[in-house]
Amino acid sequence: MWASQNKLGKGYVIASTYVSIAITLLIFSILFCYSFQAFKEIGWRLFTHNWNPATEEYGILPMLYGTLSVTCIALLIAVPIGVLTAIFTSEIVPKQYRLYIKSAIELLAGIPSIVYGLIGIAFFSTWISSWFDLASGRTMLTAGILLAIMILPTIITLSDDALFNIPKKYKEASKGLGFYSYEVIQKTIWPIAKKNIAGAILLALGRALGETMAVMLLVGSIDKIPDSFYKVISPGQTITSKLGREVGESAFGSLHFSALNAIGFILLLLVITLTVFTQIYFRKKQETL
Amino acid sequence: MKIEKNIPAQSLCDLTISNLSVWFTDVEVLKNISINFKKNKVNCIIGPSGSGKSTLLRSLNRINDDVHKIKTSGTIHFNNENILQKNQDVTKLRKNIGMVFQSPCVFPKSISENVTFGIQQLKKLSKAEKAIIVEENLKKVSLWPEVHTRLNESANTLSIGQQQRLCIARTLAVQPKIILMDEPTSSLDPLSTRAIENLMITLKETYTVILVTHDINQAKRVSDHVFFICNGELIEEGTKDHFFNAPQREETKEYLKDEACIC
Amino acid sequence: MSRKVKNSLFKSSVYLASFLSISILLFLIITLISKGINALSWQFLTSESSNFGSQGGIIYQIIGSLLLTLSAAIISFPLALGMAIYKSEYIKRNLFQNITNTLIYSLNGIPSIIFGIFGLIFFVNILNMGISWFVGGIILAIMILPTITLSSYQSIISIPISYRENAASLGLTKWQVIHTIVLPRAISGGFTGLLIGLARAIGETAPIMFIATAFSGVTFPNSFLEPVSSLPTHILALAQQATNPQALQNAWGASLVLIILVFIFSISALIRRIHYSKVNY
Repeated sequence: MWASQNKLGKGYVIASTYVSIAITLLIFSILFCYSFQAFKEIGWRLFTHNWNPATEEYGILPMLYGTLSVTCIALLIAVPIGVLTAIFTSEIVPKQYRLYIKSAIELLAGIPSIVYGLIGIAFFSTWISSWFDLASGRTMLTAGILLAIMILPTIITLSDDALFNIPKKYKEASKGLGFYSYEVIQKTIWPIAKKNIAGAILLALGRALGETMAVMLLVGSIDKIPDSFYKVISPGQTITSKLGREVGESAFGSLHFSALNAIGFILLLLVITLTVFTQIYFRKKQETL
Repeated sequence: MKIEKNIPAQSLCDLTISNLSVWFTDVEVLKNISINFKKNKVNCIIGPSGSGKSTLLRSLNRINDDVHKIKTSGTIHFNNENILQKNQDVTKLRKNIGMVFQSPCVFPKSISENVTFGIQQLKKLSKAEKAIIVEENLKKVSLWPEVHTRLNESANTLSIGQQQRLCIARTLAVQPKIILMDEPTSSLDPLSTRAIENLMITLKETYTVILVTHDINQAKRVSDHVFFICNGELIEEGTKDHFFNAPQREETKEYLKDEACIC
Repeated sequence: MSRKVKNSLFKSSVYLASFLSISILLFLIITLISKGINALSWQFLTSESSNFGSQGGIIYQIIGSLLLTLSAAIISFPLALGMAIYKSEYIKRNLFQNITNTLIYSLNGIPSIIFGIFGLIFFVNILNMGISWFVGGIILAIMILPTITLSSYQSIISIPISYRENAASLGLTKWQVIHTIVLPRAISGGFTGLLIGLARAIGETAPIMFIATAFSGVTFPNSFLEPVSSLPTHILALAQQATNPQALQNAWGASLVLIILVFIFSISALIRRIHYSKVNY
């Protein structure tokens, strides 16, 4: 009886492991298979400016541009605010309150992206349209700002961990040398913590690239690169917003569907490379994800 | 209802090691060791730390199996079977050869559940049978008077010394023939240490005890037969009197004098 | 610039950034609560939606969301548990450990919209299951699998090796050791991970919008293969008619309900984590 129990148990755990592995591989291969048609038939013409299913033109550059600029805006806003706030929570806030602030921030990270989208539509897009005097406030800038708010909790909590886990003796030793608090952080804490903070930012970047709902509602959804490439106060399109808008409308098995899969596959490769790189390079032990 | 009594292990229990060598990755930690353990005696393995005595003990019930990258050669015979062979049923082996570890490790359960933890996995027991086993084995380790009023409390509430005796009771409940003890008193205070040592002396009437210790005085107090291991080699063995009063080898003399190993 | 000036500049930027972060936090919370509370009523929680969601309530959206997360939990938990145990107790070779790690992290990093596309291709079209809540449950289960697995695995590896050795030395088989020593911790840690995963799953829109949900006229499903309505997709539909104040009002109400559900999951996870960090095994 014991022996059979042993075998049964082992069978169960092996089966679950292989099912999980199979699913992961299946996701990659399915996506690749269904984008293969697009890669084959469209080829290098994927990297052009025009997307028009009616004329079978599938240029994905506007989407790549949109993703890049929205993500850059988000990081430019969220990284300084996030890291500085992390310095505040880890170095200035008394220890007994730190846990509460962190918990509040972590809860904030749990707000679903569709709710952020709703807030963006109700407030941010109207603000942007009145400030810049636009007909519609749905621009890449709006999406970027909202995305910044969404990744802010990730950056704050992970950077806070990185800063807080530095042994106290380093801080005390450099304070003992007569350093200003700025110098303590610049010369002592930053060199130790910067690797983990970089990890936090990379992780946030991965999330920003894959974020769909809020961006889709706010980016404007026009497949165009603006005349001057830095003009982000104009509607654009990201990979995720494109997928969110069009996958439901394209016919299964068509070239259109395959082209959408192709952008999805590119996004997948991008994000996975980033995630795996982050995990391997920083070897961050994550209790929760 | 009839409860199986522990049969004194006079006839059954031969444990013989021949030409045992053990490697961790590529380091040879035990070199060609041959030992005959003595029945119903306290067999004491002494040696400095890192000498391989724990590895030797842990080979006897194959608990080292779970350690990564370990390699073994030679034979260990128990009841005329080579227990190192591949198809050996290790669970049956461990039922016959119990083990007490360095620091007590009670499970986060009640005192009585701890006693029956092993035995109830091996066979189905009624409540009454369990109660008998608990009482019988706690009495053997003279823990019964101290804890019989609070058998359902968490075992973590016991002192470290009591926990170690509970661990011994738990091992006894499985009815082993041989008990391996891996420095069982190293984390205990002197009083608890003395209690465990006295316990060993009573236990040898029923069981064969194999004790690993780095404490020469403990070996003097409890052992019947001593094996001195240094640097993975068996340097010398002998009865207690012979070993401590008339050691043959230089290394042994040196070790007994100032616990230094010159091999 | 003198050291003193630099220092005060730095300090003020830290305070400014923190002030900004806290204002954003407060703005979000206050907005969500004040806007949502206006829409919330017993009527709203217990009645069907009508007129494309701008009127009526959200009862079937709540049921749909709970159904999706419940099925995700039931599918994902045993799989994750098995994988965590296999990873901690059976895999000895570093190479295979690294492979499983990489796969788990990859799965965790996959953007949610990709799960939606995968579900659409594989379950809806290839397996021909159609748009159904069961497919949504499977996809959400795959999505939260890494979270549960890692959380369970972390709990398992925090068990000291001596517990396993003690149990094994009493003559227990490998599976009995796992059953008595490892499994309780695996379940406990996995459950915390499950709560975290469900907090994420219940708010996801992108993975389920093509494969599991329909917008109007949906009631309680009669079989595995029917679509449901869910809170996030409902909010999406309402947000797209944001010019209608009635619809927007209901969107805020649905958002507040969704956030309360999310917080129930994540706060329980938080409490469990704080509670178990105090327990010495």
